[in-house]
Amino acid sequence: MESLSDHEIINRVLGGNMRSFATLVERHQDKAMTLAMRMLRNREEAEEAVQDAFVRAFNALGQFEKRSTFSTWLYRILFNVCSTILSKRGEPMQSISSGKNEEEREDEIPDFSEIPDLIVEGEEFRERVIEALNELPPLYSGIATMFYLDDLSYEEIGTITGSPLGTVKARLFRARAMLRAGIVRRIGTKELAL
Amino acid sequence: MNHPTTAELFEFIDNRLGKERSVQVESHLAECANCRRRIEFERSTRRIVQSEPLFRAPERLAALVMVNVAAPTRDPLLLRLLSKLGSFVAMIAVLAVIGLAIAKVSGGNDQPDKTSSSITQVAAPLSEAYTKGLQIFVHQTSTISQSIENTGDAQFWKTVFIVLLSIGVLVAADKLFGRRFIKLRS
Repeated sequence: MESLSDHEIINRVLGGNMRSFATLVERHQDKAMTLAMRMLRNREEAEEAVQDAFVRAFNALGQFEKRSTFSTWLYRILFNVCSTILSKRGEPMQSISSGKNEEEREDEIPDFSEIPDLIVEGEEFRERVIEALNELPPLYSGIATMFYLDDLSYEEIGTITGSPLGTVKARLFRARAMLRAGIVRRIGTKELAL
Repeated sequence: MNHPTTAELFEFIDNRLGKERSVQVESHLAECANCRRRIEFERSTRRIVQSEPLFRAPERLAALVMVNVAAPTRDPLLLRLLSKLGSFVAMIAVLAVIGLAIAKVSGGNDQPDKTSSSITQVAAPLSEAYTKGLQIFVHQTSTISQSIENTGDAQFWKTVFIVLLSIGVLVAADKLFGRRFIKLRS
């Protein structure tokens, strides 16, 4: 079962072998959990969201048209589930947390001459990156996670978020610019050593 | 110094910048330490996020999902065929409604039974409810069109009215059947 592709497993499930779906769950659960955690930042809610997304995916499996990958389709369901949870919380997807003014303008050329050469490889730099990532608003955190972690294309992210390509590019730019600005601010305040 | 903008730089890293501009950026990078550092910073950020351990889902997740799932969900063959043919059938139905309604309006109200019978035949596959809806629709159309007749270019407005109502019926049917029969939305 482990060697089967996602589409082969889906065919088995649709053919009546329901238990095969557990393999799909095990295969995708950690990445799904990571996306949910990055968007919701609450373990209990993230676990419920992931479980809900898999159940919805199973129940709609007959409508999966296999034009995209299963993971993209699952992410789309999960993204919507997380959006609903955030909406119930009264937390807008695009709300800006602490870094409202940290965003770079598209035509701005930041000065990186003050950043030491080797700093971007150190352990402290890694910590600052994760801190800044955790501070992004849910929408941008989700998009950054899909882009960096899963190496998804702009088009795939557009499919998941239900956004046109131009919107994806704009949001991804914003996510990366905010992330970078957050890191730079932390490096500046922490005065990282080489 | 023609520094690439931040947006250009991101697209350059993602291999999505146009060929000509990519060449310009590459030659610029050979001369500009600040922009090389910007690139290095972004690539390092990506490496770090990619190498970060995933959040672990609960070990019992697969079992929990399997407890909560319903029966196998593949639609019956007939339903899948109907789904594939839905748009085509809907289009035929709309055209038939428009044609019949126009014929009825043009010919007056002296053949109501014939019109009603033809509509029933065309719309039958879309269920009895849809058929009844069409009958009511045609009846209402002729009633309303009679009232429009006295206001200038009556024939034109009758046609516009019928087309709009037909679209309304189709959209309502789409919503009613939840895309199962008629795939209007992507």
